[in-house]
Amino acid sequence: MIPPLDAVLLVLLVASAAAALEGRDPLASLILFGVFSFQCAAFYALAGAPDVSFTEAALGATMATVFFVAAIHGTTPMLGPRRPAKDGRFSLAVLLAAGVALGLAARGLPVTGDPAAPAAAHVSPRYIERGAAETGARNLVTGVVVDYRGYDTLGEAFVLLTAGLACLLVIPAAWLGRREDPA
Amino acid sequence: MRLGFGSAILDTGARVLIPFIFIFGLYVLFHGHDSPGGGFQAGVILATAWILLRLVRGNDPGWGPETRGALLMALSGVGIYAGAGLGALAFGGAFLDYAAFPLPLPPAGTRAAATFVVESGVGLAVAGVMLIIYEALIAPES
Repeated sequence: MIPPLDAVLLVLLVASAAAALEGRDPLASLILFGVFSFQCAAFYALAGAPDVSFTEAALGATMATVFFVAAIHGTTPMLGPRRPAKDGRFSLAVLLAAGVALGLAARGLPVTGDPAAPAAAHVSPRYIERGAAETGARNLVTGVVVDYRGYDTLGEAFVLLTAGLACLLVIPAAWLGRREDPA
Repeated sequence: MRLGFGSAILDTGARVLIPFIFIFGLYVLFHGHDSPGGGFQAGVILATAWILLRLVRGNDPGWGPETRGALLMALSGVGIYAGAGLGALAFGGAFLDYAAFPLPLPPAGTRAAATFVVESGVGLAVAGVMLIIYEALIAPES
């Protein structure tokens, strides 16, 4: 049984996603996309994952929206007449089939918070029992991310750095050095 | 008050908001041990403050780190993280085994202290990369 607040959020998620897809104005779609992201953050918070919720609110909802606004600002909008809708019956059939398959598969998932679920029975008990004593971090997520799984996080940091270096390649040299010019 | 871009309302709003965003970012970094948050979220929040500054003040020199500074932040952040791992190796522990640092603290305390240093590195790296991505997006076509 879905808790009522979760159900309300799920309906709002679908509504804002549909509105963002249907919108004509890229900026309006973008704001709706940000709304979608904030609803995701609220959903994670309700599910008991404040760290994930925090990241979604800061990165997914705020930073990504700013980046998209900057990207739209630098491009020319193509607001022509609406393209005639294609025959969507095949797409609808595929979507319905995938939805039914996912719905059937979801029946096999463990109940939320089930202590006997496979994900909760492997290494999690040890982290929970001894994490605070071993890492000195009362926020278990920090202890796991930076200490127990330090290798993974270091790899993530290098992935992030690589992404930043790739972005540097598309910045024109004149723009890079502009701060040094007195003009 | 010279306004290169935006309006007096934007300028005043940003002036009120930005110090609080910075302090919140630092709080998230320093308090990541005890509450939700940590280096990653703190880096994003700090970058948000700088980008807000740039959005309101335009691209005048002197507002926030320039691209070269952002690159330096990203590189030094990842360097701090990898350096903490290699440092543990140098003191006889395993790679990224923070308890190997000879600090006058119990093992968990040493780990917590090293975790904070690593989190600061992550925050620097994330903030630097966010600023680089923003620069790439607003750069004019050459």
